[in-house]
Amino acid sequence: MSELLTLIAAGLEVGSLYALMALGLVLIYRTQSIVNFAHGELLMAGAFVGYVAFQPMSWPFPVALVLAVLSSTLLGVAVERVVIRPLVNHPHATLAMATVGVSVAVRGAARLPFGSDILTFPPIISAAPVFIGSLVISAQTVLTIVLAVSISVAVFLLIWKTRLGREIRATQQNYLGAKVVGINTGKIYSSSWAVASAIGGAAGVLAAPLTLLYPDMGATFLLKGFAAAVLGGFGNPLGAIVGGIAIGILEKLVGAYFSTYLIEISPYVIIIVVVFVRPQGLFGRGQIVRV
Amino acid sequence: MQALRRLSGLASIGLVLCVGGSAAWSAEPGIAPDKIKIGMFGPLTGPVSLWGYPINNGAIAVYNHVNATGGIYGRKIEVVDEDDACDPAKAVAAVKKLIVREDVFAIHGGTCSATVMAAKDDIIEAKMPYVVMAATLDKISSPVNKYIYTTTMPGSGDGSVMARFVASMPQVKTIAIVKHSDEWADTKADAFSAALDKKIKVVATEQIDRKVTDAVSQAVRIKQLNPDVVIAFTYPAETAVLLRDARKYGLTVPFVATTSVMDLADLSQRAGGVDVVKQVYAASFLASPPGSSASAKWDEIYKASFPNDKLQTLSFFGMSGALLVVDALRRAGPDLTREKFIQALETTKDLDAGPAYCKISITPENHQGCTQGTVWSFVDGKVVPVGATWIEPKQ
Repeated sequence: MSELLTLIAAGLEVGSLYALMALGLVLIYRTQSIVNFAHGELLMAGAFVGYVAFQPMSWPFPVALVLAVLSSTLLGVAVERVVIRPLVNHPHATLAMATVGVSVAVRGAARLPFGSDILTFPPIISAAPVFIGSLVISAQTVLTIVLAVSISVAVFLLIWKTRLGREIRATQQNYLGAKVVGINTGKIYSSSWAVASAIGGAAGVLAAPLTLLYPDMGATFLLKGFAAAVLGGFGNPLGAIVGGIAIGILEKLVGAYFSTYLIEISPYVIIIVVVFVRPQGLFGRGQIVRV
Repeated sequence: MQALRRLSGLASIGLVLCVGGSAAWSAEPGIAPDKIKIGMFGPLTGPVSLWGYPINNGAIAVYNHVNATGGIYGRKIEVVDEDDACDPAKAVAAVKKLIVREDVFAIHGGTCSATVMAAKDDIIEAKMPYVVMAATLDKISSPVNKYIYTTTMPGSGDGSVMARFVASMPQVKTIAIVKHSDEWADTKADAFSAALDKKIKVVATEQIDRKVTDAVSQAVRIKQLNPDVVIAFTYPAETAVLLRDARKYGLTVPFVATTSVMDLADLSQRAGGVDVVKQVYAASFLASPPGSSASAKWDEIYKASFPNDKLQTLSFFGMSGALLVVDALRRAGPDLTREKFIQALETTKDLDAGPAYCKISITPENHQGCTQGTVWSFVDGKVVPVGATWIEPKQ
């Protein structure tokens, strides 16, 4: 039983990061119908900026976190203004390919200062894990879950309780209608990218002590985030959160109770099963077409 | 007039034979009165150049040392170093350039197994004597080919060294294996299983993928089975993740790992400190780590050529191959030909492999010159060779 709880705790830790990735993907998808294949690189950028601040510079973790979030936000806004905005009226496939291009370029740029070697981000809290029987919980796990939940709540409050959030939702629901009522949709696009990128940067600096740092690290999280978004219902923020946590826990349980050979393929299996069984995901609505 | 024509015809034939004969005499490729041209290739650009430079430089340092001490029968070794970026297509191009344009006498190169496999056919077709630099895939040198030799411990050797060490560890009855799912890991794991003492039971074989975010499931599963030792056929980054999570989840048994993590100081940095890796025993094909008193001679030879380079285990990887080339060139004699060189390579016996653990022995039936290794571990905060079999630590 305590092994099960240990696995669930570990699944919650990694799942909360997948949830943040999925949330960022969903925000951009809802605003501009773009699947942002460069979202993993926003996570990677945040992780590396956090690393530089926390390790060589030895600044406190909160400063590293803020710098990571700011840098990813700036990067995301720059991508939206320079790459996405000029292509906004092009087919979705073009926009998706543009984000693939951004992904490759950002990874390449990261290799210039950091090379391709793998860096290690030390635990934010160096306290030893707590053992309760066979149940193991580390302070790092608790901190990651608490921060990820706090960030998710803050994003929900922003979307549902602020004027900017209402404008984002209005633009998501009806682009032309939003323009007609005077919403600056360009600003909304940038804001959506800024919020999604900030979440990505935060996820990066939280993921850094859990995993290893290298320029391609975003790809793994992108895949898991994508699976989470599909499971929750692509376009539904709550679904993204639930999907991320579900995938995190599921992969730990599958690995421990079935086979470690199945861990990495489980997200692909989830995507395929959801597409066949419930294409709209757990929280998504089926598409209704007026005829 | 007819006699004159016949005479001039005979003269022409004589001239052709003379010139041709003389060209044939002096046309042993890559040989001049004052130099021997050796081709080299390896990853000098791209992500793997991090390994490529120190490995190739170790071999170049040996050749420079030989040149500085008089060369070989008055000839200096001239190295032509080509980049393959660890890319099979580029390796083929680099090898073709060495063979056709640079006209080298022999090739000593290849750090990535995939690139060597890609270039192998061209090397054989050109009848080019070739000594592997650092690639470890068994298939490169086995089955035997007349032109291909290696002093790098092949993957199967790695597995055998690990199995021998595990069998000598006291009280080891059960082991768990963690491995990647690729040919690199499979070769080592298969050799390990074949050489493992049959009294030792394998209680689990777990997979860990490349670039994993964590190894929680593997650590929890193995902890439940409570093996005496964990065997890791994993690359350095994934080994670090595995060790970190093993410690986090209370899996405190010793780990025996491959030569890929023999740079234990580097592994400790990746995993989060010496404490995390103090129970790791890594197979090694080097006798001692750089910077130790036993390796001082080779440290100096490397530093003499590359004073600004960081001395690391990689700096020694190419040296044993260079020593084999030099020894064979000497034994082939002053009238050097490829045939004589190959004959010398094939009769190498108990040659000192420099910083490598083995003695190099090659026969016409076996071109893998080094299959012996030892084991390194942290003792009193320092990486030291602890022997090919278990020696009870001093209290």
